[in-house]
Amino acid sequence: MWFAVHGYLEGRPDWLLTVFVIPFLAVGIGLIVLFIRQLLLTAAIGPTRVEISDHPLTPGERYHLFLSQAGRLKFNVLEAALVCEEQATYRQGTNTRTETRQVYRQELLREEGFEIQPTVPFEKQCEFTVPSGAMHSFHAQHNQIQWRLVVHGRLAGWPDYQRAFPVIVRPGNGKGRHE
Amino acid sequence: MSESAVLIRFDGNGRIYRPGETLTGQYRFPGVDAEQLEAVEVSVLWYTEGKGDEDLAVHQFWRFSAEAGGLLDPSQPGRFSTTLPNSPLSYEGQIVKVRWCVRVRAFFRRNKEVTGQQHFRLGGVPAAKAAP
Repeated sequence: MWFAVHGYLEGRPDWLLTVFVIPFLAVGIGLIVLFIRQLLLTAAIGPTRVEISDHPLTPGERYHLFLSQAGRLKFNVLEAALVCEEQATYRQGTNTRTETRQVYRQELLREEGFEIQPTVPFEKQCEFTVPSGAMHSFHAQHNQIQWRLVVHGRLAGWPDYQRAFPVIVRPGNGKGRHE
Repeated sequence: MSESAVLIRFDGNGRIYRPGETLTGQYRFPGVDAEQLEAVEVSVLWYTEGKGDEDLAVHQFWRFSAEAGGLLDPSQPGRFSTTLPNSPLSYEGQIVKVRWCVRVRAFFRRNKEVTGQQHFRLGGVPAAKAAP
């Protein structure tokens, strides 16, 4: 890039070099913008705190959830959900791939159109029940079933953010069905 | 000799068991001479199916061999009994499935062997659907 700029400064622009350099310059500027944006976003979104009344969770049992979100942000939507994901790892040639599939999602709370100030974090409580027929958390070398509490924020003028808190669901009594 | 050379049957014809319950049953090798049979291995195990590579764990294992002095009479059914664990429960997921079975391997003279397995369900977790 230096040579391209130097050429312009000396009044002998190299157009071929300029055309070659422009894509790299665009990608570089884009990355810097993304980095700064992410940095500002991380700084703007304060800590997300999730508390549950008991852990590990048991299928069929009811729990209290407390959510606290600090920062200085304007939210379009803030939601918390209990999700279950299957994760499978497999070899394909010389590569190892991991696929994830969400198989359960229960929206626990949702708040729309509000603003939080640095001194007053957003706080909300709710109750939820783990479905009585839920599969328990499972962790083997290549296959996993993971339960998580996921907080998802849609912000005004900023990209969405998501924070996940893994929880353990213990095996139930072996009967019952998903609600 | 084919897979069907091993017959496995659960007592009470039960196929769904609860955690902590006792699984009992028997296996037979119809049409096999006692002289041919060298050893029998019985495993109660779970394994995964689906998109990922297989995971497998043996819950209980027995080996009976003529060499070790075990009585191997293929005309008589062999019995197995085990207390089932709390997990993992049988699961029919989208990309992960957990299956339980009793697997019987019989080893014969001249390095021949046959394997038979019978599935059962541990727990009543319903099949998973893709979340919306």
